[in-house]
Amino acid sequence: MRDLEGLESIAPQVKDAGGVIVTVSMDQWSELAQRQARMARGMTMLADPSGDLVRTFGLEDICFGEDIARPAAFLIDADGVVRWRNLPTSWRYRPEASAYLAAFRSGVKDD
Amino acid sequence: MTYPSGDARAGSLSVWCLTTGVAALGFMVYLPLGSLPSLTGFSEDPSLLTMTMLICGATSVFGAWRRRQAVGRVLKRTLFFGAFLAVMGNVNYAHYVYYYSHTVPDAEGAPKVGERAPDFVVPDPSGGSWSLKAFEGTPFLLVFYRAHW
Repeated sequence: MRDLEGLESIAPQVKDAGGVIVTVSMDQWSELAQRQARMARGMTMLADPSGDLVRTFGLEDICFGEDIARPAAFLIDADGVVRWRNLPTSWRYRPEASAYLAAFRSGVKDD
Repeated sequence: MTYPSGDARAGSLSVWCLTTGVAALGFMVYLPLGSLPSLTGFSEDPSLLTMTMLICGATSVFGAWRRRQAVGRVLKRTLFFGAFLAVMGNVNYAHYVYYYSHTVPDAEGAPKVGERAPDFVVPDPSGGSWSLKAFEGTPFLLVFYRAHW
């Protein structure tokens, strides 16, 4: 949840830069609605209970079956091309919100 | 057994309880300790926390060993059990931090930098759907996180 709160904190800056933050979890939509209620509507939160999107991006967790996604982040530009990605190699590690913001600004600037 | 509050033995027993408690926190290392403001470095560099856990675990074991002859049966058992918890807390902590947390599966199929993101369609409960096309013309950060975290 800490990473979500961090993302929420930079959502206005990403929006000002012409972008948007989209989060994906394998929650049910009903669970996600509860989470959304606790957070400001600064970003788009998607539920992927079937795991189709997670598998499309090759992020299924084969250690525990298919009920969770491997942590990952991508910056996708206006043309749909991946400009940056972060694939942590430890469950403990999550990028700081500032790292997301820096990646976004850098990726957008390069366009 | 109780000691007068000014007794040095009471103080050292308090220290033993504190260090044992900290070491036993290793059982809860699966909880997101990194979300605590004072432990934000936990995620990136756990060495300080590791050192703290080791010192507390060793202090607990040493304290229990030193008092083993000088206390009654019940307190002796308590000391033994506490030291056992401290050691197991240390083991659990080390297992998680230095082994388990690195068992993240590879993501060889994930799109690489410079590649086009795969198209996707995510239906939502309102009957609509979200797709890559919906974000066309807008750069976006797509962040996957583990559910329930």
